[in-house]
Amino acid sequence: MTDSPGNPQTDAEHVRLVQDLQRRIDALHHSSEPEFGAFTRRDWILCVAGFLVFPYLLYLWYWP
Amino acid sequence: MRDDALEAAHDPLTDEDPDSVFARLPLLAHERTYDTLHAHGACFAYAIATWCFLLGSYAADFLGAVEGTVCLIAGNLIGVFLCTMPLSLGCQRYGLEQMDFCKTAFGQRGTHILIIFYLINMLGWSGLLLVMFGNGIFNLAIAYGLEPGQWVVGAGVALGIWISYLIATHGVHRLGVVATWVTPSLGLVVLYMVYRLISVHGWSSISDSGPLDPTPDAMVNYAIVLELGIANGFSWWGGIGFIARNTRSQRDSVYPQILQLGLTSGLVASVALYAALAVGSDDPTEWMIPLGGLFMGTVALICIGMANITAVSLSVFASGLALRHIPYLRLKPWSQVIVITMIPCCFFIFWAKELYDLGASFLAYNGTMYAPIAGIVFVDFFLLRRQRICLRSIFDNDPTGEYWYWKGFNLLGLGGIVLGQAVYFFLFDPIDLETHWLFTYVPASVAAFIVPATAYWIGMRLQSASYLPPSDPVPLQQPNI
Repeated sequence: MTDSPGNPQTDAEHVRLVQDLQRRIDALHHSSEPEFGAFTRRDWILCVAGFLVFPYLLYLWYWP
Repeated sequence: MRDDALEAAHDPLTDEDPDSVFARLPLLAHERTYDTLHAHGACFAYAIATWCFLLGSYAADFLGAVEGTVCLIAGNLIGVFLCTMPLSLGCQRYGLEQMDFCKTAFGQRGTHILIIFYLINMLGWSGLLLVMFGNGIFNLAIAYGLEPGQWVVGAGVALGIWISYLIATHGVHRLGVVATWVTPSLGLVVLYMVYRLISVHGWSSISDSGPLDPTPDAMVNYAIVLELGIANGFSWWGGIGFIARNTRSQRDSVYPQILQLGLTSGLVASVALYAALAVGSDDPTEWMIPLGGLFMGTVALICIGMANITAVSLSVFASGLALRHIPYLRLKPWSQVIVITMIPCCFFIFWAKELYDLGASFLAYNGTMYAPIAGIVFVDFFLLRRQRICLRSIFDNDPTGEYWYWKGFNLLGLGGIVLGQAVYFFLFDPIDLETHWLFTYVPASVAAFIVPATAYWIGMRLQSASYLPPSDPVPLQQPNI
């Protein structure tokens, strides 16, 4: 269960914690993608152009 | 109490001992607390923290106002973009904090090594901010006609450690109340600095000011400040998952981080650069009295001092959470974990000036630590796993798990970190500022991102053609929470 020794109270709590973890894993596994919002191809293009390519071009523009 | 804590497990900033353990639980979609506005607010609070002042002051050693601004903004944007994309999208989708998320690339036990980097980063920053806090007290004493010895700085560091300990052990959530005042106050300080800089010194004077301590090569100076900017962007690595797992949509996990931690942070660092050039000092606590006069300078220093303590408390709290990954510390009392976390900060009491002077090197060193990790995680999440991971295996120490690898270590991932550090030091030595000629064309952080990422991708592809998770989840065998 855990690498740390614990008293019976701690062990009982750990069992509950693991049950909660399992419940969360199952819930996230069965969640649909739209629940988490969409990051589309357009977002990717915007991010790469705006936050990677443009800053590097700006850097080159002011090259000493 | 513990039942309450279990129920409150979705709140990562509650103050009771067990919550810091339970904060590792993956957050469900309905438990996320950050919408777009909150995500921007949280990132903005991080972005205008006082470490930006340090970044700007280091940049002033090498470049003037215009070129420095370009490098600081461009570097921050590039660095944040490269490290935030896999962490933001992955941690948001699966509700994970970044240490757990990185197990896919480094293995169950391999991530413990990342914790060392994480702690170096968090505690290094904390130490620098604590010295800044001590310097603030020292400079205030001078401003009021006292003649303090250098010991005052060390005493200030000790005071800061004590206050941060109290906050981290008695309730970081109370920092929310403090932050409600500190963040806007710091924002006002920055705006006031801009106003005074323009009205007293004027833009033409600032833009004509030369760097404080440049190297003889203009191109190297330019490349070093870009490198500092990128390294600063990478240094957000430790906080990205924390914010992203709390956001409700993927866009909210990405854009606020890049815009605030990248752009806003770069802008605030630029203001600090102007102040350093105008005053002629790279110590932020020496700027405020000359810029604002005795009264406003005192108010500004108090705001900065509070902001420093707030940031240190949060860093210590987050470091304590990271230490909870180590089995021995998993069930230790929270106060003991915090004490262990703060021990390295004590060095700053006795060697405040010496360690503070190494700040720029430390900042650059963040690039050596996080650039290879970011590159490997980028390739792992987007190219190998196609954004699909096995959540059960993240929390399972069973050797049959997807991310167990060799005795809990993925040697390809960990070897990639070593390779990345070697590449970094080949191009740029952040201690002695020695550079390879390639460094002026390829930032060391970017090379340390690309080379290990490529090697990792090739190595993993040679081992297996597919890394998609199994479609049917099985129960946990050896839960590691």
